[in-house]
Parts: sequence; structure tokens; C-alpha cells
Amino acid sequence: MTALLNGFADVFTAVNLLWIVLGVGTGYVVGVIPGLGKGTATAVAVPLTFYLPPIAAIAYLIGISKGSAAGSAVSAILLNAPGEPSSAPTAMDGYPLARQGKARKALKMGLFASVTGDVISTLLLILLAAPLARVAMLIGPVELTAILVFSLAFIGSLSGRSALKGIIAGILGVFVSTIGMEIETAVPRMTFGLLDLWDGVPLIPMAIGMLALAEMIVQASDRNTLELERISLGAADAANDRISRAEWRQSLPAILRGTFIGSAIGILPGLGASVASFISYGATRRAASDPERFGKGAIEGVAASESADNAVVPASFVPLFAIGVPGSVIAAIMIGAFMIHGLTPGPRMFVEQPRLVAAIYASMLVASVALLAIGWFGQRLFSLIVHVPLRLVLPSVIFFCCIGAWLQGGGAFGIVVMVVFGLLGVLAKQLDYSFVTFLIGFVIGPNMELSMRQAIAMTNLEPRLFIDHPVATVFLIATILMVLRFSGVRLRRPRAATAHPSQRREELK
Amino acid sequence: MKRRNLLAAGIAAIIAGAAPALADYPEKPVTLVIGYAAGGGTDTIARVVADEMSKALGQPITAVNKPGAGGGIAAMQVMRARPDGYTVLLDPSSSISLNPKLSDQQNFAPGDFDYVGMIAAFQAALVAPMDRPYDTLEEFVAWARDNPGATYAQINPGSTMSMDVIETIAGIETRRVPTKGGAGSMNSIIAGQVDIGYSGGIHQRYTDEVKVLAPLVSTRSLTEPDKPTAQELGYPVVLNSNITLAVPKGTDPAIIAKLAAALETASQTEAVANIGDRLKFPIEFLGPEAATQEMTAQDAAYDELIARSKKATDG
Repeated sequence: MTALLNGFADVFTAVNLLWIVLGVGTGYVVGVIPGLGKGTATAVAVPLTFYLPPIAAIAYLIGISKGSAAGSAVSAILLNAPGEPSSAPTAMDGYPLARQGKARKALKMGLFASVTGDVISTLLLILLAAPLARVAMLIGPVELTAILVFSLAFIGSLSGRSALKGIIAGILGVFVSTIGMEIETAVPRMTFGLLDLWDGVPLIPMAIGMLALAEMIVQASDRNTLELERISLGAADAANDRISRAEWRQSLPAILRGTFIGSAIGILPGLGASVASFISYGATRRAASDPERFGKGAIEGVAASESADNAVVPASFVPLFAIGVPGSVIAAIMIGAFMIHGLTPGPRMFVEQPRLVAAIYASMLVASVALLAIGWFGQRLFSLIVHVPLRLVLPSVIFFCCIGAWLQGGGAFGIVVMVVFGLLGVLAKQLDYSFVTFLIGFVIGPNMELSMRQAIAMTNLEPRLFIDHPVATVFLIATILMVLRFSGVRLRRPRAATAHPSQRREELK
Repeated sequence: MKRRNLLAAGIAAIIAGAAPALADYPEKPVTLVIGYAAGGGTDTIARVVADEMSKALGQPITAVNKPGAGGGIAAMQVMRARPDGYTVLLDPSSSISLNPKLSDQQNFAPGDFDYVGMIAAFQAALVAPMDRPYDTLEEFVAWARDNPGATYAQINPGSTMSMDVIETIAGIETRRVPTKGGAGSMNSIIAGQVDIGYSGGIHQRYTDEVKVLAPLVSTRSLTEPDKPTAQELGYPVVLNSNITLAVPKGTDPAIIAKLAAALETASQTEAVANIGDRLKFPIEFLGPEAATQEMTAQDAAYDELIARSKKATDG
């Protein structure tokens, strides 16, 4: 405890506070801008952190990852163009709210849910890093395979009007993720002789294309209607901005559930923030007494998605801090920053440099506070964007998309990838195939393949593996039951309660 | 002042004749292409070295990450660059000496580059979870004979081929568990999910949880120097690889000499020593000639490993 207090004292220097605020601010802004994201920001920040004192450097990186996870909700709500796949479920209810003139309300709820998820998950990291990491280690490849299959089926079944189409999209995503070097023999698969495809289709340009570019194309074709709607919104209505007591009551359980789901998924390797926010969104819709409201502006949908999204960030540092093995891309980049500053992540860090560890923890908590402040003022500024004509918004967003795709996709090749998947995204929207399920399939595909092949090698597929791995068996049975139930529901009620953006648009007109 | 500089440059240009810019190299920033993503071990050490080298050269060095195809994308970009010393490559030497042998699409070979130097050696090894009942490769082999179905965490073709050769000689069989990168294999070893695993050197950060069975390089382990290497035990598996600075073939020897001098200076700085210590890379500078020789030796060693592995897998 004294170590933590000393750590706090170390953090409260002008320089360290400045870098935390700068990190959160940078993260928030790149999160808001579709096309740019934490990957871009962190890669730019890594060389910078070489010249900073250790606490400032690590706090800066942590600030970026926390800020961008919260910031990406802003573009999801205001533009229906999530900055990162993990904020896609936020758009499902946030954007309808914005079109009803309740953008500020959705943004407030998003921020509050983000910060709550973030703080609780940070506290979990501080108090329980070591035991949690040990529990996570019990989740071996067999369990992970089952959990991934379950997640894909769950997400696929809830993200479109038709569970079948959702699952098809997810499996297509898994299929595209097999492009690139095969993991066991390093044989390139489906690269068509292009060396650029050796490491697979780059995720970030693909995500930018499907999430942002495709939406901009759709909005451009629908511009006149949307433009009129924006004008009719007029001046902000104070009653629309405030979150009512009833709405708080609806959202609080969603936030807590999202925080729990986000923390649990963040600790496990290979799932990530987008799986967390989708499962949380789905679970909240499932728990609601009136699931029809979802997709049309249910505020607890925003709360569920954002709390899980942000809870993943601190939780994904648990394996890094407790064992020294990175659990996420950001964590892997942070190892470099730790090393440069003479700190080897892992259990011995707590013994050798407890004060520095405490300072890192303290700066994570300070970053949460900074996030609340920056988000509060930031969203006042960014919510003005609903009053900017679309003819100015669309080209600017596409410009940033190009920059992001160029930076993170190896130059011009990234732009090609972005355009190809942007067009595919438009097609998916027209045909009502969930492009987000596709992206999630793409993200978890490689991990699913890897852990499945590991599981096969380790168990030799002997039948007793189902007895040896009860957790995996439970998840597999749950998956089968869920798929059966969804197909049953579909047979009895062909018009299931789930709605898709294109359908929502019709209803709102 | 400026005029005098210009005059000096002019005279130097006349004296130098055919290659007028040489005397002043480097007169603009140098681009250092790193074959791996920002934040990894190779990148971290590269950035510290680049920083120190730029102090010695008096020009900034811009580090650019070009990850992909195990360092192959970066290598191909630098190979095609103008041999003027302003585009240099930093890659593990195995990206040049081993990887192209395994792929039709990486059309380059050690002969396509000139070598400025090498700065640190990767410490590849066979490792195991701390709680396993064997401490050396020989003890593992004995154990694996009694316990068929031992699992091996492999990362890349080098690790696959090594086990192919060891299995044939030892007369054992392992089940191969693919893992992704050094962190992935460490994870499965620390969690005790596999019985033995390959590490490119990252295991030295986890000395509490991971033990070395046998180094797969020609020198013994820094952390456990009493363990004989696989080669000493009669398994001809040598996966030497060094962090290497290379330039396109045909670069002027005078430029190479300048870069090599800067690299040598950098290798003696405290900053580089510190980061080498942290990452457990023994910092050891090899000049252009020694690096070229090492490259030739590795090229031959990898040819041999591939041939042995082919023989092993073909039965």
C-alpha cells in the first residue's frame, strides 16, 4: 500500500501528468478520426518514448490505448463509422440515437461506460494480476478453441436479421484470414504470388475499408435525405442531452455486465476487444425485457458495448505484468518501452522495482480520470460535427481513411486493400450480410486455427479429451444448443427481433 | 563560412573524381529499414543502435519498419535500392541466409548484399518448462523414448528442421505444436502445455520458469553455461543468426567503412550495452570482413540443415 502511495507521488509531477494527458488526448483524437487508430498512434509514439523518463513513456502509451478505445465511440455514434471494430456495436444503437437528435446523450453514456469499465478493470489488474494470470494459463488451446467457436457462433447469430447470414459472414471472415503464411510449414496460402500478402491481408486497412469507407459511400448515395435530416435537428435540445433516471437504471446493469465480460475476455489471449464488445452487446440485448428496441436507439446498447471495449485494455495487461507475456498488440509494443527503460515485465518486476510498478498503476488510474475530463470536453467539440454538411464530412473522412490505410498497410498496397474491402462492405450492407461479423471472423480466425491445431497436436484427438477438458466441452455443448435454438427460432418466427442498419434506415424514414 | 565549405567540397569533388560525394558521406539523413515491426526485440535494439550511430555519423538515421515475410520484405526493398549508402538494412542474418532457401518468392541470396557488420547474436535454444524431469537434451531424449507423444512447440521452419534432424538421430518422435512467434512459444512452455519448445532467445527473460536443454547455436548459453550445445552432443543443428547491417551489393567500400566505424562506435556505447543486457543479446561487433565470412558460413550451415532435414522427413 505504501508502495502504491509512493507511486502516486511519483506520478504527480508536472512532466508525468503532462504525458498522461497528452497520451489520453492523442489516443482520444485518433480514436475519433475514422481511419486512424491506436495502432497508428502507438507506432508513432514508440520512437518518441525512447527519450522520455520511464513513467512518462509507459503512461503515455497506456494513455493512448485507453483514449483511443473511448474515442472510437464518438465516430461510431456521430458518423456510423467506428474508429475501430470494437466500437461497431456502439454504432448499432448510438447512430440511431444521434439521428434522433440525441447524440450528446449517447456520447455521455458511451464515455461514462468507457470510464467505468476502464477503472474497474484497472483495479482488477492492480489487485489480482498474479492470480488472474495463473487462472488464464489454465485456459489452454483446447479451451480456447471451444471459446472461440462459441464466440463466433454467438456473435454471428445476433448481428443481422438472419442468424444464418451472420454465421456465413463470420465464416467468410475466417476464410479470408487464412490468406498468408501457413503457421506450421510456412507455406504461403492464396497469396497469388504477392509477397505483400505473405503475412495475410492487413487488418487495419481492411477494417477501415469495411467500417468507414463503405459507410461513407452509402451515406454519399443517400446524401440528400441525410442532409435534410441534419438541418431539421436544429439547435440541441437540452432534454435530449440529459440521461434520465430511468435510462441510468437500464444502463447500469449493462455497464457492469460489460465490464465483467470485457475484463474476462481481455485476460485471455486471442479474443480481443471486438469480441468483448459484441458479446456484451448481445448479452445485454438478450437480458432486456424488450429486445425490439435494440438497433433503434437503445441507450443501454451503447453502455454495454463501450464498457466492455474499455475494460479489455487494462485486463489485457494482466499477462504482461504477471508473467511477462504480451496479451495484445499494444502490450507487445509496450514490452519494447519497458525494456528500453530498464524494466523487464514479469513477476520479478514487482520484487525488483515495486515503486515503478506502483507508479505505472497510479498512472493508469490517473489516465482514467484524464479520460473522463478529456472525453467530457472533447465530445462537446466533436458533437458539433452533426451540424457540418455531409459534403464536407465525407471527403475529410475518406482522406483520413487513406492516410490510415497507407500508414498501417505498407503504403499503396494498404489503400488497394482498403478500397477492395470498402466495396465489399457496400455490397454486404446492400445484401444484409454483417460486415462486422466478417471482421470478427477475420480477427479471431488465425487464433482459432492456431489453437485448434495446437489442440489437435496436444490431445492427439483421443476421445478422452472431452473428459480432460470439461471447460471446453461445456462451451462446445453450449455452442451446439445455441445454434439449434437459433435455427428453431428462425423457423417459428421468420422475422426475428434483430434489426440491421439498412432496415433501421427504412424504419426511420 | 558557408562559402569555404562549398569550396572545400568542390576541391574534394575534383580530387575524388569518379565518386565525388564520397568524402562527404553522409551528407543527408540515412534511412535504416528494419525487417520487423515496431516494439519487438530486433526493433528495440535497432533503434538504440541507430541512435548511437547517427551521433557517430553526424547525420540523423531515420528508422523505418518494414515488417513482413520474416524480414524478407525489408531485404527485397533494400536490395533494389541505390547502392549509395543512404538506404541500409537491419535484419537478422537468417532472414537473408535461410529464409530465401525456403521460398520461391524471396528472390535474393547472401550475395546480393554487402555487409557493414553484425552487432549481436541470437541465442536460439531448445527449452522446457521448469517442472519437467529432464535438464538436458540427452535427458529429454531418454525421457521421450519412454514417453511417446512428447509435444514440441515450434515457431518457424528453422525450428521444425532442427527437430526433424534430432528425432532421426535420437530415434524418438515428437508431436509438433505450432506456436506463433517467440511470445507464443514461451506462453505454452510457461503454462506447461508442451514438453519441449524452441526459442529464438526470448527464453532468457524467463529464467525462473523456463530452463535451457541445449543451445542450438555454436556457443553455449549465457544463463546456463554448463549445458552443452546440441552440436556438442552430436546433433548437427546450428541455427546461428546475428543482427546484421547490410547495404545493396556494389556500395562503395569507403561508405561501408564509414558505416562500419559508426556501428563499431555505437556498439561500445553504454546505451547499447544496457539494452543488450536487458534483452540478453551479447553485444559483439563484427566488421565488414568478419560479417561477410559469418554470412558465408551460415549460408553453408543452413544448406546442410535443409539437406539433413529433407533426408530425415523423406525417411
